[in-house]
Amino acid sequence: MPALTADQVKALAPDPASLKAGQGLAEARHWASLGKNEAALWGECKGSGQEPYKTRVDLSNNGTSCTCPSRKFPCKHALGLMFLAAASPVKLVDSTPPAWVAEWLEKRAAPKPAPVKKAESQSTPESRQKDAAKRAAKREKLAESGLETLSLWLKDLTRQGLAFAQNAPAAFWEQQAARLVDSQLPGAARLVREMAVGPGSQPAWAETLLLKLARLNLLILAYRKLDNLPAATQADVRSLLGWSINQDELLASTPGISDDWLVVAQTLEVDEKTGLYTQINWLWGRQGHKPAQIINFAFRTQPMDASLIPGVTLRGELVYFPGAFPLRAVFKNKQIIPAPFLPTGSPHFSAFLEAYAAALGLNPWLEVFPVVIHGLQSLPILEGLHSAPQRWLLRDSQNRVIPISAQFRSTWELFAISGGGPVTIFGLWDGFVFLPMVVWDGGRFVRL
Amino acid sequence: MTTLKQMTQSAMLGSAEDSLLVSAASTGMAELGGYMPATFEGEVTASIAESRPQMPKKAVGLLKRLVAGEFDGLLPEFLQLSAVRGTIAPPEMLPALLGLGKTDLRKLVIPVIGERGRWLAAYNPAWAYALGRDPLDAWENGLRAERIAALEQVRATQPGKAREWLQSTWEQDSLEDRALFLAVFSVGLSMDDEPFLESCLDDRRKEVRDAARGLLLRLENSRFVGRMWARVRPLVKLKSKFLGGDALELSLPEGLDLAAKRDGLGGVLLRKKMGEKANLLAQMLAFIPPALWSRDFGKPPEKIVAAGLNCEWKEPLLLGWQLAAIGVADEAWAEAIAPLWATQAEGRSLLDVDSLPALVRLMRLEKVEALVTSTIKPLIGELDDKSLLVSLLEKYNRPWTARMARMVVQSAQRQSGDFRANLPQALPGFARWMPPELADEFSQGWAAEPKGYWSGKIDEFLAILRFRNEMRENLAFH
Repeated sequence: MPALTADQVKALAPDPASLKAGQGLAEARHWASLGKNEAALWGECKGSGQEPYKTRVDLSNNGTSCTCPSRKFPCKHALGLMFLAAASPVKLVDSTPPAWVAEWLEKRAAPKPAPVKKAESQSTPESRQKDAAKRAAKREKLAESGLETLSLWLKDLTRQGLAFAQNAPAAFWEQQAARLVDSQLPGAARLVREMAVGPGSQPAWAETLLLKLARLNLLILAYRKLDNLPAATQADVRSLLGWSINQDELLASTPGISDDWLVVAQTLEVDEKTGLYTQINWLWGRQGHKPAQIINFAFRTQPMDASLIPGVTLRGELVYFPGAFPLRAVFKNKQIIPAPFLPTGSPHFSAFLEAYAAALGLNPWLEVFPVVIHGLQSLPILEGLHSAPQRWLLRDSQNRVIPISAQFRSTWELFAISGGGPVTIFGLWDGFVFLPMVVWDGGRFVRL
Repeated sequence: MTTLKQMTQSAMLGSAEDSLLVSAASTGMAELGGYMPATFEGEVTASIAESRPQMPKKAVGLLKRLVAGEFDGLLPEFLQLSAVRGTIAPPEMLPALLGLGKTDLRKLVIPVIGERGRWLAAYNPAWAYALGRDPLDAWENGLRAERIAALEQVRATQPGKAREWLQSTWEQDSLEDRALFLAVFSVGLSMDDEPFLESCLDDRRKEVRDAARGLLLRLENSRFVGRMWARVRPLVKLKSKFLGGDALELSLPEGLDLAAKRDGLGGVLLRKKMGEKANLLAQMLAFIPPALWSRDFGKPPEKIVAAGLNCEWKEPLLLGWQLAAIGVADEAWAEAIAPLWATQAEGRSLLDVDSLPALVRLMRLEKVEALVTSTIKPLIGELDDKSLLVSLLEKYNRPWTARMARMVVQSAQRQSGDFRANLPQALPGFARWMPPELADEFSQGWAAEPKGYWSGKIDEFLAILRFRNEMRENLAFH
């Protein structure tokens, strides 16, 4: 099993305090015993209590468990153990796991029992179905009226003109978003909130905004004639508006796609108001050459999936959510394997742009298109002889260029890496600019 | 056909047309789907191949943590180790490393950036110092930092040539730059520089005059030192006493002439609570190499310092000697003065606290170790907070011997069950200078449950030591 690097352990820390405490515990003197084998790390950490805390790490997915009372996950003891293993693996003696480790591992390896349906003695299956249908119909109705209001709001805005949007107060967007939330359309609410960020912030903001408005309008139109659309598009429309998909049912009803999946990139956003963390992972399949997106949500102190770390390869079955151009997915089963690989992607821009056009034809609401492109070089555009570069481009093997997003922070790092010759890059294309996320320097995986 | 851009223009001021958004969607989709990348005209020269290997992966991980601000102060040690090993940093680290070049880390950064780093530096004016151009070109066309580097480079092997370069542009250089350039002369300093430095005493800028004095002080045969010694020598008598050793007898200087003012005397008071004349004496002493005293009176520094402590004007004497010992980096005199801080209450009160670290740093390791040995006597004299040795060691900031490290750590371990104020605080700082291979040894032997500050500070101490050990292991020759 590949040992985690200190960098990767750092990524698992739930907050800076845990990180610091964990680094402090990465000292053999804090541990009464330390051990490891192919599958796990374990140790007994001396704490303030009589009994040391028993800490264990499952290396197949970085799952951890500890007898300490902390609600943080992983706790500082588990982090300390992993830091210690990363820095000085010799301190962890290769041995047979003690019973408290072996039993835990066994329990984890055992297949999870199918979720037991809650016994509802009061109602018959028929009446439950009826209730569900009633609730669904009620939600449809709510959505219809919510979208009706949204449609009027869009008309008003186009009548007033986009210039108005530039100076609109935050409440202008926020109120409409809140109304959509009330109508149980959180997806549509997000699309409205994201419009508030654009105006005035960049040169092409008005075009971007018009396109966003147009796409939202298209979404309303699509919902109105949902029944006439292909099933995959129906799924796109509903999930974009905010209907969620029952993952358990999805996993049970859909065959998975087996492959080795490289976690290429990860972003983490936190909603300050609610404390909700949204983790977006981008994966790439070794055989299928296909991207997948895995989104995880968690509130503070709740565990995120610890096996999803950029640079790690997972072998397992993945199920895509239904859609015309499926991207979002969920794992049916997976295991970390020590076999990173260089993904196969597009040889040049025209190949990827063709694929993008096709994807857009399938799903006109596609916001970002994940892509691996080979043979790229980054180029600084200098405006004067003694000035620093103003803009950055990517050039492919056919001497074509596309602009790099102004949001991209690591322009110099990318330039330094690609200065030696053409490189392979993974990133997101939004139709206007490219946001690089990972570059392979030779075979070396470098996060940007 | 209307483009999305044209539609946007008409949409800016509002449109009553209901179909606007519908047509914007289809036009927008068509434009996104039909995106045509431009063709690039022009060439970017690729970097040439590296002749040296990249540092090991684990070392890169450590470097990342240092650059991110962890273990403040260990970056220079890392860069030195990497330079000695002959390895270079991976390309993604180069922008951060080149960005460090604004500080005095510049010289340490250049050896680890490799060909790629030099290639990259050409694209950002702020990194020009790393271009590695010909020193004369850099001196004549570079910005300040690059010019200083070029001057330093030439000065190291051809001091006279560096002086000629400096003199050739002296009149055009800004007054700020002059003092910075002059500081480069501390390398390869000789009497050949004396005439030029003497002329700098008439410079318009105070910083230039101060820098020139600092250099002339280090030339015992300079006219400047000669004038200063001639002012002081007549005021001093060394009297041998039957009991209690020697004593210096001293009369204070009277008044200032124009020549004395030109030599920098009579400016700001060195110490407010001393009188004007005592201050003047201390100023004069600060511009006399202490070695002249030892030679003139035929006695070692310790004896003269002891005699000075018996003098009525011991305060200006000690202060002047301290500053002079720092000014010329005189080890023997530093070793005679600095230990007073840890061993003698009266001597301590006479020393200048602000410049004490500079004095302590001059001491040779064996002298510091001897001081530690004589102070730490298990259970009788520990390295605890009553001992000023801790504060002296904190100022030393140079590598320790294993023996000294063991003495200090073992003393700390004997006390880690007690509450002590400044010893636990000082431990993490000591970890920067102890031999890092002792990390494992030092992680054993602490009290089971250290009290007060101890626990956190021991962790910090061990973490620094371990990190340095990792640096060494990952950058060592295998």
